[in-house]
Amino acid sequence: MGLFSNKEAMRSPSAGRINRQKSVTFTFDGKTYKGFEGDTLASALLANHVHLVGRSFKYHRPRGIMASGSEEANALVRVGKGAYAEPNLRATQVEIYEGLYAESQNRFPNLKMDVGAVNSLLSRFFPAGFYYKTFMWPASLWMTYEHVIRQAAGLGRVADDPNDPDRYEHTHAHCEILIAGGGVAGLMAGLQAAQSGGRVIIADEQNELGGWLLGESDTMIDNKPADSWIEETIARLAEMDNVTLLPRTTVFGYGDHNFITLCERVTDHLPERPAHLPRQRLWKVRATEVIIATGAHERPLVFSGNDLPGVMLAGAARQFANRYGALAGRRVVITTNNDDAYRSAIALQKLGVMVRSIADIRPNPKGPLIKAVREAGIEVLAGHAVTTAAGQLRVGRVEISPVTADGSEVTGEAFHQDCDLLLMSGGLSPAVHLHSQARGKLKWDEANLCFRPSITTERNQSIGAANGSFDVTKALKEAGKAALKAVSRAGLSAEEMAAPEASGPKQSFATLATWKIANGLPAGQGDKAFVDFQNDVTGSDIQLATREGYHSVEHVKRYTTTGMATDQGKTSNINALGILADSLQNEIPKVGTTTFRLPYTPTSIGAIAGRDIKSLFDPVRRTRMDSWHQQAGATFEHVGQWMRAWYYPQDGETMEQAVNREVVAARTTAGLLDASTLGKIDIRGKDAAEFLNRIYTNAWLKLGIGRCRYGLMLKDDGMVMDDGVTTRLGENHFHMTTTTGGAAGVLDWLEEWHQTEWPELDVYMTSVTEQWSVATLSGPLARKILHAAGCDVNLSDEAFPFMTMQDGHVSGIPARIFRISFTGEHSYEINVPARYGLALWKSLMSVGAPFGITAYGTEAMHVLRAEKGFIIVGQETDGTVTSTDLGMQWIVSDKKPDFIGKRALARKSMASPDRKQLVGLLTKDPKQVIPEGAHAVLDPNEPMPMTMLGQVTSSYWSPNLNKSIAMALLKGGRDLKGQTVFFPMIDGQAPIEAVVTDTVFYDPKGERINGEQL
Amino acid sequence: MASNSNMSQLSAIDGHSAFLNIKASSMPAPDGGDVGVVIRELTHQGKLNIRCDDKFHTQLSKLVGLDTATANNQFQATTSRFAIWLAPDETMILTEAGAEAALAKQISDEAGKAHISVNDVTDAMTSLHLKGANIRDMLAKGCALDLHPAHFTKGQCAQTTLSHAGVTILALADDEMILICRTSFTDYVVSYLCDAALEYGYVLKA
Repeated sequence: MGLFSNKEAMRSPSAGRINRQKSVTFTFDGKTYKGFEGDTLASALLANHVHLVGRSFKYHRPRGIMASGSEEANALVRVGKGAYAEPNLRATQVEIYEGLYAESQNRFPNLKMDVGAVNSLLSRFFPAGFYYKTFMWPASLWMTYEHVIRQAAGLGRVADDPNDPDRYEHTHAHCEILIAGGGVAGLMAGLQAAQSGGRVIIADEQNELGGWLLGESDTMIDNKPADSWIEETIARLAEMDNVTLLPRTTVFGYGDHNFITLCERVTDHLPERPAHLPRQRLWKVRATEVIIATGAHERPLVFSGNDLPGVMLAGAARQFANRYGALAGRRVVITTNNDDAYRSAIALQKLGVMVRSIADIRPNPKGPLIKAVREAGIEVLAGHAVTTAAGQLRVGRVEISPVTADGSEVTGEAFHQDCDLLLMSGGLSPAVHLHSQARGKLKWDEANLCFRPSITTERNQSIGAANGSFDVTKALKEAGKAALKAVSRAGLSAEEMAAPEASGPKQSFATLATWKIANGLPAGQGDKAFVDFQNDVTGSDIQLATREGYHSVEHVKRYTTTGMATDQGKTSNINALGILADSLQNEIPKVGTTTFRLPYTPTSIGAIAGRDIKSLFDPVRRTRMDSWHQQAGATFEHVGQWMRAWYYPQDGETMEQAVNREVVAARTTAGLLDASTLGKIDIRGKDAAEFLNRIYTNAWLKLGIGRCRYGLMLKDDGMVMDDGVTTRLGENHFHMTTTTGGAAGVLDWLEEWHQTEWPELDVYMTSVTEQWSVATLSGPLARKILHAAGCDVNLSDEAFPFMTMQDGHVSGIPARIFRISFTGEHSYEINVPARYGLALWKSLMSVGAPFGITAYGTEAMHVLRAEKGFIIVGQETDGTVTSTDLGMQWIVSDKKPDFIGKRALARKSMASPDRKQLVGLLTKDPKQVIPEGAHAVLDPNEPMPMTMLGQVTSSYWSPNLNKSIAMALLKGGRDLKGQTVFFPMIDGQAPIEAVVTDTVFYDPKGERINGEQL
Repeated sequence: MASNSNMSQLSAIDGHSAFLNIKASSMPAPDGGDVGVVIRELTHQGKLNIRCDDKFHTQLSKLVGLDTATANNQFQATTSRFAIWLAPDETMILTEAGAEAALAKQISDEAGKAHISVNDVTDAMTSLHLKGANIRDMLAKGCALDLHPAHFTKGQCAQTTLSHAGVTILALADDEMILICRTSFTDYVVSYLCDAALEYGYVLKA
């Protein structure tokens, strides 16, 4: 490695926008370096002689820095430590700050000595499609193969601690004009658009706005150096209230109707991140008009050894030098098929770099730039290409050969030149990603050899280099025009501004088609020539794929994985298409392109999650009585978003002990349940009864005022949807209750039927779920407790019978009391205005204490209702269960002209005897509780696959019956009554035996409903 | 009926709002200046949900004391009462705390046999008062609507979502809003707002 010396300064003494007053210390792979404020990790490493920064994905080849922006394919690093670590960041986008800690990736034990590089020696055995070909058989071993492959390949390691300590936020924004990209075209468009007074957002992924021209020393705009024009324009924009400037913000996704997603790196560049700010902020922008000014990416040339550290895009070296003062080398060779690399030659030479030669594949390059280079004393080798780059961990020597005009054949003797930097330029590719994400079409530009945006499907326009308008003056004109068009389409107006004139080197953007450069050796020999650097796909891989019959671009992409890495082929797509088209002897436009998808650059999951984590992940709804439950030590369960008290363990009780105690209390003394979460809908209007008559399966017209009735709702397909008790409060006034989870859906359902099918009915629905807090008092002492609580309603069975409602007071609180029961016991559902819910609960618990009142939770409620064979919608039903399946024909009126689901129920198949029907189960061993979800079979010895009858829907230990009870949906279940069925156990235990029974296990005659303990 | 009860006898009973378990908190503005957001509950602010057709608004307006026939997504207000458009046949009335029961009865009596529906939803909903220079920035983090003062102007209301909660918001001024949510979402909404206001500094009164 004697060719370059670490003593040589790799930082120009004056060039660049870095702050030389502010030295910054950072660590890369354990070694400490110094850079300047304004450096990226890439520029700072280059200025410190560091070229080797990573190992490649598949072959573990040494890799360096290839590009200067977000298109970088090689220089992926892991930044930060511990829980803060983030892998796969492009060194070209990481701003350095004091104390920055970065590591290279994909190497073991270290970057210079990597055992995985053995893959490179075996590379002849890892062609395209290698994994598909090798690990297909036997298929059962794929899981093993995959594990090993994932160890060997793959990108960086995620953070060591899965709990990301950083804060991420989302925000929504609306604007008339969103400009993606803050280069000179974007800035000009922004300035013109902002004259309209409309809201303008300009977002750019780099740390400062200005784009590519921040790194050009040879361009003037309005007779000023480009960077001066940029600074002045930014200052003008910053003063305008209607303009939002977002540097460090990547426009990464383009959705329908101009819904654009941006990721702003708010504090990534700061050594100390303020706690009140998010690390990153995801912007969800709805823009009336979008202007895409995302620039272009330079393409590499595909030749042997083109991936060595020290082989770089010509424009990138120019950017590093002009923008950061970082010199990527001191002795440079350039290979190109277009004019642009000549600007790099001039720029680098001006900074004291020795440019040895330019190998230009074009047989006869002409024009002012070529002339200028020759006059500067740089050798131009027309009709030549660098055919091989060589070196150990960095390029040290290149082979230059005369080649045919397409580069595909060597036509004469090769010679060698020593160098420490090889620059390559294969033409420019507009960054059409956002245009394409928005389903825009592309057209092939034959002269400049690139795809440009054509038809758009959203309200957007591409301008400047992103539109293939690489000339600055042209780009600025285009920007102004596009901005005016956007302004007008957004319904605004603005005075036209004069487009600034740019001046600089006269450059042609015509590019020669040279897709794969020969190396003078027979096919397959010599060093690899890479197309997709990040996924290690070579030109030969693509040619092989076509020989193996993959002709569609989408197939070739997947077979070779070209373009499928995290950079989505920003630098490789066109080269891959060119090689593919050549192999197929077809034209690129006919081969077509693959689809661009979001995100434009990888976006952290943290930013996508935003604040939807931990306690803000989903709302937790609690009742007004909740604080009592918490103090009582209740265990809670989620019911939809509600948190309901599940059971109340006392003095070290297990769940089973607590639930048994609660269940027994409700049948011997009294239990109190917080039933506030049940849905409640107020229904009014002269047609309210008729409306209910159509919604429910049973009859409602004749229900008396003050009377309650249980109702079952079916979907129009006949399947059970919801149930609950509805009460007639007045002639035209009903109070409906629904299941806790079904409340919102039922209200929607009622409104939908009213609004779309029966608008002629006079009926209004209003949700009053949360207006009321509800305590359900149930058990033989319920009446006594209510009386003791000062209830001013006559509680006698005659005055207040079962299934009626009374208004009155309980503990002085105005209450609507329903005498209904979900336990089968004497029971009251006491509704009070929600603000008094806690007071009611506390009062009843206190007044009821001498009577042995016991708070019970939802688990006890489930057991109590199961003892009575009452269904729970969502447990006994799953959207495929009809009222007939449940054996609830008693609630389905056959006299009503119609109700929702009636027609479906009448279908012959609905009466089919082999439908699953709800039955009860009693286990042979009464102590055995069948697991819910267990499947029933008739013959436990039947070989698999066994004939399944159906599944257990509810199963409990019943302390009141001192035996296990269950309900199940079994095929033809009602005909199986009295028969034994078996439940094979997944854990290999002997199948559980049970007898099919009726579903009502407790008090089948319903005598306890008026029961009372004296 | 609950709404007909004698309120004086209730004064001894502990009625509480959804702020029962919410504790006051604050975060100074990072720049040391005024906090960007001040949040407080409009405790027990009366709320009536009314469903009726256009014709009834003449009578309703007289009873409420302001024009209740508001345009879509608009509200009308006096110092203490609001009429909020919710749907073509649905209006929410906000009143002084404690006045809702009497007003509901007046409206029902006035309606007679007319097809209307009045429901006291005072306890079903929580009203929050939001004040400060950054309330719109704070809401924009969880609300997809265009909340720019030129687009969501004084007198406008919207039924929308704040992150995962359904809310109704009323623009009283550029820097002042009322936000109404279902009571059981109060904890979530308040936590969300305080979290979103972190970078502006806030005061939560409780």
